[in-house]
Amino acid sequence: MNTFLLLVYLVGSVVALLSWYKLTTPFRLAALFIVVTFLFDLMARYIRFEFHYNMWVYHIYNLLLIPIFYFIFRLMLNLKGWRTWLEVVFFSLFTWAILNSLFFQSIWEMPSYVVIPFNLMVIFCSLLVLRKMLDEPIQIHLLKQSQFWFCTAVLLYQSCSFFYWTIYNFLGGESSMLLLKLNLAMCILYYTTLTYSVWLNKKENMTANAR
Amino acid sequence: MQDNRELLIISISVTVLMLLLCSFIVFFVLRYRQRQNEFENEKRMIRLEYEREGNKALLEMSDQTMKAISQEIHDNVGQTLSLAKLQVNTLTTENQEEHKKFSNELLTRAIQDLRDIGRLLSGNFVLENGLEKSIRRELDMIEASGKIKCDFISDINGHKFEEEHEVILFRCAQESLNNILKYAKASQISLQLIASNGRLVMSIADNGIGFDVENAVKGLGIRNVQNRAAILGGTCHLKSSPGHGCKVLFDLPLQHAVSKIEN
Repeated sequence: MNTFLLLVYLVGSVVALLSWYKLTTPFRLAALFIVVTFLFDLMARYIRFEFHYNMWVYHIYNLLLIPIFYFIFRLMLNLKGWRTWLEVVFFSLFTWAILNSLFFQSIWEMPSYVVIPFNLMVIFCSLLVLRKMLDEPIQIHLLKQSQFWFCTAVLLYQSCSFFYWTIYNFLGGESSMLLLKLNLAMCILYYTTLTYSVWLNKKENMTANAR
Repeated sequence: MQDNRELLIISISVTVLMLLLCSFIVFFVLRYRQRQNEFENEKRMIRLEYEREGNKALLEMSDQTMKAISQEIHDNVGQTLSLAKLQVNTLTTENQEEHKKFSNELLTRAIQDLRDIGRLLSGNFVLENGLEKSIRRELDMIEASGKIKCDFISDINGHKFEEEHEVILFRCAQESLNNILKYAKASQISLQLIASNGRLVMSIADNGIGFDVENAVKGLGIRNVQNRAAILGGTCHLKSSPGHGCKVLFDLPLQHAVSKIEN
């Protein structure tokens, strides 16, 4: 299953890089996110193999993830009222991630205290984007809209991730095998759907340009 | 035993979570489809309403034009030709030269009248020479009669009208000028064409006898002009009172009626 996940990352990164110039800005950031995840996953595996402790990689990864998602949702929502709110919340989260790494969960532990609020934030933002889509429907089938797939992927994965990390914290840093496998399966589904949304966005843009 | 219990709780929680998420997505897909239909229906209704209004305006305009042509033929060309026929019928050897000359004059006038009707119908001059020039020519023709003095101020800041909008605007000006000639008994006409702040304002004022706007609107064919202004997304207002002349004010959005030509 791990090998399969790596393969999904690889395919996702290739699709993201090949589509780069034909993507809209939020999806360029989504593409960047896939590539960054792939690189960090490789790095984490290598460091674990060589030095055993690799958790500090996830601390850095989280710090990168927060601004990426902030910009994605800022561009997707593009609503004046929400802009300040997004800025405040994501900035607070970013500050919290630094503080957590320094004072609470050291770089030798998984930064689950950051992941949980991040999950909640991203779930809320994707719900907002879905709400915006509902308010301004366009005459393209929903299943052919990249934004829908992106939000669905985020909503599904982040909800499961939230569930996983809550149990992880509840069990005091332990995780059951079933949950690990479930998380892995959700990861595969998440990055496959994200890759599909990036590819769909490229197609949408090409069709729009052809018109 | 403890492990089995944990496993059971986790399995149930995961199942509930997945069911909830899937139900939400299915609900969203269905709701989105419903919203798409609602949105499409709203758009269709607005389009239909707009088309209906447009067709109504066009029908009224076409009806007005037909009436104007039939009136012109009946009052001018018909009369002139009847008179010419009478002259030919009463031709004798004594009055031959006089009647021939008069008939000739009548036929020339009939031909001129027909040309005028042709000019009224054709928008070619406007398309070839533009709105400003066409209006100026119209005012020159009025001034050539020697009875009315015309002022024309134009400041359209390099805006060029779309062709069909240009013809419609010219027709508005023409109709208003015709009304002045027919009813106003004016000695002065002032026409201004000004584009600023995203709007085009055309005002046509005269110093004629004026009229009571409430009672006279229909008779002056002003509805016809108002319909034309509405086609361009604008409005047409009349200001007049007995003894104080009349002012017709067209206010049109520029982005609807015109496109700017970069110098």
